[in-house]
Amino acid sequence: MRLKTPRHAITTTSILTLLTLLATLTGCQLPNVQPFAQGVAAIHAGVDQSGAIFQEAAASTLPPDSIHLKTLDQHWASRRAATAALADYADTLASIVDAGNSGASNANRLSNAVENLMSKVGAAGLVGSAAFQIGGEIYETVAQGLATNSLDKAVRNAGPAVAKTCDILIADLQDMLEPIDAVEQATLADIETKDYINEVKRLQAILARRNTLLDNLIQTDESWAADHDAVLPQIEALEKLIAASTTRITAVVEQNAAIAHAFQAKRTLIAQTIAALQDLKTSHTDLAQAIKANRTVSARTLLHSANQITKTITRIEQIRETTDE
Amino acid sequence: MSEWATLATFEDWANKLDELLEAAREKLAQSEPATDVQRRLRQFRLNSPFGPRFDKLNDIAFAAVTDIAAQTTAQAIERIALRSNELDDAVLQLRTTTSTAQRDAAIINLRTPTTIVTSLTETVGALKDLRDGFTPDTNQEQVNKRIATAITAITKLRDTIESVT
Repeated sequence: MRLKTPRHAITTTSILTLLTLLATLTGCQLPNVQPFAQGVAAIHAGVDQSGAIFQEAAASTLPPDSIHLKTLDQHWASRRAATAALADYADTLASIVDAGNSGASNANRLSNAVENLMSKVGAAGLVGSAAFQIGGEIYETVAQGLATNSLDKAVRNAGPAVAKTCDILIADLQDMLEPIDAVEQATLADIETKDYINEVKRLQAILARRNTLLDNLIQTDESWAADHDAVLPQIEALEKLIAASTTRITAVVEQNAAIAHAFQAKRTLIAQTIAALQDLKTSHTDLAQAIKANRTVSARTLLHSANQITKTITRIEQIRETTDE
Repeated sequence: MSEWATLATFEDWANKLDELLEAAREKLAQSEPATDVQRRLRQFRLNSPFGPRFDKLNDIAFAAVTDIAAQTTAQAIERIALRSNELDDAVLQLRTTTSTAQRDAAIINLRTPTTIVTSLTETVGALKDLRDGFTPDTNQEQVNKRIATAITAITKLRDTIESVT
C-alpha cells in the first residue's frame, strides 16, 4: 500500500530545500570571462595567419604536385577546427556568465510569455504578476548559482582538452619556425642571381685595384707630382665604376632587406601566437581555480599577448600591401 | 680570418663545397636546423672566384640552399601530420563539453520554456481562430486559410519541442 505524504510536509521540505539552496548560492560571484574569450579570438586569428604563412612558404619551396602540400592542406584544416572549437568554447563560457547575470530579466521574459499564454486561454490573472515578480527575484540568485556550477563543470571538463590542444598547436607552430628560416634563405639566394654575384665580385676587384693605386701613390711620395698626374685619372675612372656598381648592388641589398623584414614579421607572429597559447593554458587553469575560490580572474597577460598578435597581423598586412604595390 | 680566405685552387673550393653539402646532409638526417649551412652556401657563391668552372660550383651551392628549404619544410609537415589524431581527440572532447555547456546556458537563460510557451501560445491562438471561424457564412477559402495557419503553428510547436529535447 502506498502511503500518502502529508501536504504540509512537502511544503516544509520544499521551502527548507529552497532556503538551503539560496543560502549556499548567496555571494556567488561569476568571473568575467570576456577577456578570456577575446584572447582566444586573437589566438584563433594568430594560428590561422601562421598557418597561411607556412602554407605560402611551403608552396614556394615544394613542387606544386608535392604530396606534402596536400598533406599540409589536409592537416591544417584540423588546426583551424581546433581553434574554432576553442573560440566556441570560450564564447559559451561567456554566454553562461551572461545567463547567470541576467536571471531576473530572463525570468521576466518567461513570465510575460506565460501571461500571454494564460490570456489566450482565458485564464489571465490566474498565476498573478506578484508571484512572477517574487519568482524573478529568487531566480536572479538561482541563475547565478546555476551558472557558477555550470561554469565550474565546463572548465573542469575542458581542462585536459584545452591543455592538450594548446600543447599540440604550440608544437606545430614551433615546427614552422625552422622551415620559415630555411625558406627565407632560399628566397634570398634566389634574388642573388648570377649577375648580382658577378657584380659583387667585379666591385671587389675594382675596389682592390683602386686601393692598390692609392697605396702606391702614398708610398712613392718623392715623385708624388709625376705619379699624381698619371694615377689620379685612373683612380677617378675606378671611382665612377665603383659608384655605378654600388647603385646596382644596393638595389638588390635593399630588396634583400625588405624580404628579411617581412620574414622577421612572420616569425614574430608565430612566436607571439606560441606565447599566447602558453598564456591561454595558464589563464584557463587560473579560471578553474578562480571559480572554485569564488574570486575574480585576471587575464591581463593573455590580453597583452592577444593585442600583440593583432598588431603583428596588421603589420604583416601592411608589408604585404607595400610589396604588392 | 674568413673561411674563404685560405681557399686558392679550384680543388680547394670544390672540397669546401663538399664539406658544406655533407654538413647539410648530416643536419637534415638528424632533423636539425640547417639554416647556418644555407647561409654559408650563400657566402660560398659570393666569395668564390670568377669563371665557368666556379659557376658550376655556385649552381650546386644554390640548388643545395633550395633543397634544404624543401626538405626542412617536408620534415616539418610530416611532424605536424603525426599529431593530428591526438588533436582531433582533444577537439572532440572540447566540442562535447561546449555542447553540454551550451545546453546549460539555454536552461539558465530559461530560453527553452520561454520558446515552448511562446510557440504554444501561437498554436492556441491559431486553434482558437480555427474554432471561432466556423460560422454559417464562412467560405471554403477562409476555412482553408485558417486550417493552414493552425497546421503551421502546430508544426512549429512540434519543431520547437523537438529542438529542445
